[in-house]
Amino acid sequence: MNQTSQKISASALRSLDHLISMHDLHTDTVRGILDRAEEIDRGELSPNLRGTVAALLFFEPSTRTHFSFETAMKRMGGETISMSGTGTSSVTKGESFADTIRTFGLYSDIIVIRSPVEGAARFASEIARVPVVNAGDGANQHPTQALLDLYSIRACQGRLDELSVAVVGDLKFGRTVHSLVQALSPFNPKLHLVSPPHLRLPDYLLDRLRGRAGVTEHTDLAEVIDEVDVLYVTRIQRERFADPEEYEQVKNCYIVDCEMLRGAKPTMRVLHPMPRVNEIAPEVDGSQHAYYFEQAKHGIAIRQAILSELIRGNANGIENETNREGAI
Amino acid sequence: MSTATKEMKVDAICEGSVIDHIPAGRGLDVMRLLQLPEEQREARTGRPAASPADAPPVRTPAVPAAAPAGQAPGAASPVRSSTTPADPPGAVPAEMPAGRPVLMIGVNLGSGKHGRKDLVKIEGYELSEAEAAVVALIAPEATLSIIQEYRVARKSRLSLPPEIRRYGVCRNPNCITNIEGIETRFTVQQRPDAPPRATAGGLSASPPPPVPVHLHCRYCEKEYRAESIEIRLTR
Repeated sequence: MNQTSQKISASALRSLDHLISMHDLHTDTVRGILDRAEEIDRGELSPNLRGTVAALLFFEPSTRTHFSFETAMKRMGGETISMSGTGTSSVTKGESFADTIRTFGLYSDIIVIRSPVEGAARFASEIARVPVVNAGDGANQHPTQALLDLYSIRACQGRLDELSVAVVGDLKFGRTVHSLVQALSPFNPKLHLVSPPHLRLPDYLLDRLRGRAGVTEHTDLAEVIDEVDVLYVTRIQRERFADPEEYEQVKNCYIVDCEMLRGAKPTMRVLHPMPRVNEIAPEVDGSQHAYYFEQAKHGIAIRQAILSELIRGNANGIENETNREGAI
Repeated sequence: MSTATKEMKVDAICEGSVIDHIPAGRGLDVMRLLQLPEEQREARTGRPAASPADAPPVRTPAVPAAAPAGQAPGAASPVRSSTTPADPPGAVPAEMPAGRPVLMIGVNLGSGKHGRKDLVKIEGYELSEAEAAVVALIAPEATLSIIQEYRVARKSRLSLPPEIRRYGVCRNPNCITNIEGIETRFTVQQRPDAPPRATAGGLSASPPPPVPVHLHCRYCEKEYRAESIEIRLTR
């Protein structure tokens, strides 16, 4: 990273108070977070969050996101307090969401929140006295996943600009998809949206992409597999279907296996936000195209970058990070 | 039909508000929106409303159908004063309950500017700027005239606000505003709809529809056409 990009990144990051939606982020801010994560990944930067606490409030089940935030804090010397579900909290006694957020804001230096309710993180950011990170709100946004997806795409393709990306699966309810297509749109992508007809990307998001990205819609993945640089596969989410029969009809509609990938470009990489069920056959794991485990690993550096920047920007007196040479 | 002999399609009002140049077919939506809740029903005018006994209802000639008179097409905000007579004296409906606004509607009235238009009159109630901004969501080209003693005291073209707070109800049942009952916030945009997903083909001879107003929920980030949102003037 050259000095100019360092300057852009630093100034763009300073304007970040919360991380709620990709809709809020300027392209420079996105690049700033990716650059910071890259420095952390390479060991060129070691943020120090000793003495700080992150409240991880997960009102909805999570494995990867929850533990990657926890790991990220611990790698930087910080602590976490956690709430999973509502069974162990005052929420079961009838405490309002607002009171829960205000209270945890007093106990911690940052709040990471996942909720099945859309807009919960935005509302939390308006009432908490500390920075808030959206770790997923219903079918709306999952910005830290989108940032790690961008980071993974840049890592495996060497660039973000003008890539051909196929997004496959549940585009209607998949919040990772909603965040990713918005995150990619400033980089002039060619987006292929592949889904069953009733799981298409919502109109309001398609409308937002208009004029910013070349978008085509498909129901057959074979139509685009040969031309894409990135194949982003998502799970058809059983928990988003009110009607189990409807879920059964579509759950196996896209299964990526080695046969399907035969015509793909050698540099094409398969990404998946995980967890997968059966949409990527295990035989793909050993192929040159598989990138989803590296992608999951990148989640740590991205979350380190986000947590350290938000906590550092919000609190004076916290020891700054050091780089390998010891400079502050 | 000359102006002088044109019959008024909607009763004149003594005190209150006239929303004119509402797109034809939207007048009922504006009426529905203006079903003011109980606590706002107390008449809010700069002057006391005329007594029904003093002012029997009339259908009278001599005022253009496109009332309020004196309105220049495309009149723009900010508010400008006008002393042009709007409605003739003595035109308050006898049935008007004291202290409660009465709504009147004209549907499919002739309009040189739009071909057809709707018009709504509110007797005994001056629409506030915030309320007028909400009306603009479903009738962005409409004008608002404040009537005092049958004359246009102020007139302005409605303008879309950049954001509306509190009045709209998000259609998404899983939005935090509906779950926690917090104040809603929508950013307002007037722009064409996205083109249809499948190419429809063929040419249409009908004129292009008015550019719709879209509301973007600050919280759940869903976007809706303004006319599809339930709007309550108080919550």
